[in-house]
Amino acid sequence: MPVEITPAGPENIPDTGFPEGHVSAANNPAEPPLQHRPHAFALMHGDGGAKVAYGQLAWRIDVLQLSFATASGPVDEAGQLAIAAFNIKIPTIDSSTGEPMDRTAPNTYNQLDGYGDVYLYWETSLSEEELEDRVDACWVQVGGSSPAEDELDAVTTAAGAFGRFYPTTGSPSTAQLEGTYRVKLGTVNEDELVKQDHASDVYWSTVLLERYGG
Amino acid sequence: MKSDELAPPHFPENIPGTRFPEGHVYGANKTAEPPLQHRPHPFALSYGENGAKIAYGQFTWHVSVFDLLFNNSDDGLDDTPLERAGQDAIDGVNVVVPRLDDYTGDLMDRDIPNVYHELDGYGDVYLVWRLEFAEAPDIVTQCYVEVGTGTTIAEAAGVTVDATTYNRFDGSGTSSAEEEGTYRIKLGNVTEDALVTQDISSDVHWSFFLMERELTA
Repeated sequence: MPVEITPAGPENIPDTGFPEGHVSAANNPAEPPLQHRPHAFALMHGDGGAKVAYGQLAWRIDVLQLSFATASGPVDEAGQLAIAAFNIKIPTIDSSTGEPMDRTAPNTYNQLDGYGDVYLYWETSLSEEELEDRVDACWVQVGGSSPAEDELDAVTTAAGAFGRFYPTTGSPSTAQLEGTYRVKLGTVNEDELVKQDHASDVYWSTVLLERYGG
Repeated sequence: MKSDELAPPHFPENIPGTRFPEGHVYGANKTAEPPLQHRPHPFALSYGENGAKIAYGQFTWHVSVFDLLFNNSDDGLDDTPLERAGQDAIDGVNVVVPRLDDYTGDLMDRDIPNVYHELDGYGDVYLVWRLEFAEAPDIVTQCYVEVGTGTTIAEAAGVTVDATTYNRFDGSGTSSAEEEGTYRIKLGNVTEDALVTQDISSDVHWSFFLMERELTA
């Protein structure tokens, strides 16, 4: 049975500054309280740069495991790691070392350093021991020229042992362990309308291959 | 650095008229609402004049690809064992902006303050997308919002368990049903004299993986 949704927070109608019953053209209309945040990564104009509302990156990785009998095959066993839930990464502001975004509601917009195209970036470091560190940086920045997007490298079709997770198997290259990804959130320029491309939390769900034996 | 507090999320469209001529000011004036600070959530539905209206939203997708190599060289065995395995580069998140009503329609507008986009009629509203693997890397070749189920849906067909060469991107060993697919997800329902039903209220993300096989002698 449907239920009515009640406001998320305490209802604090701000004081109008006038006694009850006092009405004139100078009255400030009471603003209704904020009931919820805007959508994820909502953009607007700020003071000297774009502003962005809270949003987050949710990521997960599946792993398929194949075991080879010899260096020339064949596969004699196959398996799969546990099916993982989502891991959450709260973005930082402007760079990987910036302040984390604030998720309290009613929230604040977060001021970015400049105007232009706004991107959500994340970086992987798949050989980290702790699962949650395998996406080890996530941030919102203005400008997409640096760093460039750099996908995790492919794995050559072979039978030799290979794995990217800690402890690594075989000898994965740095380019197979460390990747840089991004999604454009929108554009905020002075004297122009905001362009909002992405208006949800960002999801990244992928699959990795591991080989054993060989 | 954190900045000032949010303004309330005012309803987006159509700043109401004050009912007073410009320049006419006295105590009974109705305050015009301040402008929209941000869009509603993706794919927000409302009523239009002759059909449902819908706010901007977008489709994102991700694909992972495994490469399997089988060998049927004469090794005295009757089988063709899987001898090697690999994987393509790990994909990021790809974005497609939907069109209106069908795959030839206008693109949805991402500007703010945005407009709702009027669709052709009332009823169930769907996001539809079409895959064509031959068009790699941009394999999602169509994406649009439509009212009703006029589009025929067909998943990209499965692959028979075998050891033959198979690649959907270059068409090796595939049938037409395996080279393309059309999918949809229901966003909600807008019907006259009924409450709007909003099913999806975020951008739509679709993530899947593919297998490629190669058979060598």
